[in-house]
Amino acid sequence: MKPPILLVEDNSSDEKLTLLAFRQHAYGHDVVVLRDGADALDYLFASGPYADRDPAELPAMVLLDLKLPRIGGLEVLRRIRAAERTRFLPVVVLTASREERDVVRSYQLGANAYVRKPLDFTDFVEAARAIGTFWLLLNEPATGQRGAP
Amino acid sequence: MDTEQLTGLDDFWRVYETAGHAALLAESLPFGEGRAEQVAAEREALRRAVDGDWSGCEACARALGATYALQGVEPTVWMATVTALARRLTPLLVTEYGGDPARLAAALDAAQAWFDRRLGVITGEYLRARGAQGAESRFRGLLEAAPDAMVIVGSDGRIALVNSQVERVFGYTRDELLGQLIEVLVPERFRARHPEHRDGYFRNSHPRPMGAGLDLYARRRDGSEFAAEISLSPLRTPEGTLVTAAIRDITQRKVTETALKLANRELEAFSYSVAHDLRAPLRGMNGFAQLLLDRYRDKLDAEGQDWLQEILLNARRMGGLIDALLSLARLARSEMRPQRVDLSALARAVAAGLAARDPERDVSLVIADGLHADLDPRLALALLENLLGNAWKFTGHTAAARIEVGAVDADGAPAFFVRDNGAGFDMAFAEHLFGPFQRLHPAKEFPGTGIGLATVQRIVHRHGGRVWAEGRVGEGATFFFTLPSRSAEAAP
Repeated sequence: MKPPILLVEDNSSDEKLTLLAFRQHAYGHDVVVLRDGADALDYLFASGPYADRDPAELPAMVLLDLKLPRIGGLEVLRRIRAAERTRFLPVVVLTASREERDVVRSYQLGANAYVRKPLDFTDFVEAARAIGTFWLLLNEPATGQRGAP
Repeated sequence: MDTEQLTGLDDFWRVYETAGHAALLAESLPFGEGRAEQVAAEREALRRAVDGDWSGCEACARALGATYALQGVEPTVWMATVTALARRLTPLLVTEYGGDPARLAAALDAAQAWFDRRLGVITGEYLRARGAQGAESRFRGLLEAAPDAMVIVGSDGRIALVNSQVERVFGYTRDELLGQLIEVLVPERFRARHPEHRDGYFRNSHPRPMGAGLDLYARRRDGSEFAAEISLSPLRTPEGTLVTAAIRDITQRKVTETALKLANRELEAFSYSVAHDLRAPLRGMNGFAQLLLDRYRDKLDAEGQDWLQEILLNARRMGGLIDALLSLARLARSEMRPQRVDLSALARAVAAGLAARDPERDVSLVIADGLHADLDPRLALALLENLLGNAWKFTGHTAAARIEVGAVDADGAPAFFVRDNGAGFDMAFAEHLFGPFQRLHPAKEFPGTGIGLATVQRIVHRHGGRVWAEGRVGEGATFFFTLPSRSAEAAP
């Protein structure tokens, strides 16, 4: 069983579109959807409703929206990078914002990539294909991050 | 000096001395100050004049002239008193030396010389003293007329002069401040370091704002403080350098600035939310319409497919509008770093880009050489891209299209222009040209977001310039803009 892709997204339309876009380019990985930043952190650190999860089982990558209920995407990113276990977890910021300060802040906090959600669905599918191909196939994750073959 | 003159002066002096001159002088010079001393001084001065040394006489005359000037005695009045003294002395001389006409003549000549000299010196001194007084009163007038609180400080840091605005702003009376160290107006927490700054300024003084880039505060008599803007300028005087400090209470301005900053932050938050929140539902509409069209095309007839296309088209258009609005907002708040920009070279580069994107168009481009202006290079590029892009677009249906970039003289400063012979516009709608989303042409004919000229206007306005347009339907349009020169503004 390959580790899942973690999609943190609160907009249900965007969620469906992202799932559709990744349907062909998830390379056998499931997509786990979490709808706010607090849930995402609970999932990753096996706390709260996810207390029975094994915290050593990390997703293959995180697709992280920035504007999220409860805990925002940038804060989620900061806590992911602060924790020893998740320090090298691939995080792709997938957001509507093209604000320079969001881009800069994301990279400062250690995002691996910053992708603006394209308005056009064909472009979105293309973006999903590029992200999936690179982070799930080509990229060599740090030790302990590698998905099962 | 010849013997005759000496004899004359000697005789004149003897009469002056023996005829009870103290009373005479007291009577003739009613404006003299410290009369007894004055008389004694006159007598001593005259004695030395007999020996050929006129300096004492001149000193006495100067003192009298200054006294007259100081007391505001009109020249006609004091001239009358001085000549009255001469008239009183003449009969005394005649009585004394009448028996010897030659000696009398010499004594009278000597008296004449003495009075002439005296009158000359007094007049000179009177005018000089009045002139200086006039200059000082004019200076005081200027000081009072200034809108700011003005404090003039000597190199010892003590207050030499203040205007009444100081009394109003600081709550001190003039007398309480004169002679005090300037630090009395400085909040306690800055006092210790202030004399050092002040000495530094006296050593290298030129007009400049104080504490550039710092928030300055001044202290009122009651200990309260206010935000202040202070300009310093040196005043060279014969007594040494004085420094004029113009102090302005900017509390109100600070309040306005803070409100403005807050408004800008809100605007920023608003554009951010536009970026995020408006695009998200749009992506949903667009994405699902596209999915429908891709996967269920065969279930829709031609009309149904056309309608879906319309949905997609409109969603895309709305996306373009949101992006344009956001870039306009970003433009308005981006930081500016103006510098000398070669507009001719930049216009050529932009035109080359347009031609490369549209190789089948044949447009004749005429770009004048040597067009320079002071503006932010990034904004300069956006400015020319929009103006030239506009000209390029609106000559799209014109045979022998021509775009010209140049400058004309507008009240002594260059007004740059971009002229085309394209679709033009009706001057009746000229004022709508620069509004965001204002369009004077159907989108089908000339597509666009309607944000280009609003961008142009915002760029020009941010640099303190003007922008306007002239046009005629079917004959073309000319867009003019001015950009104030920074060097002219920076002149001291």
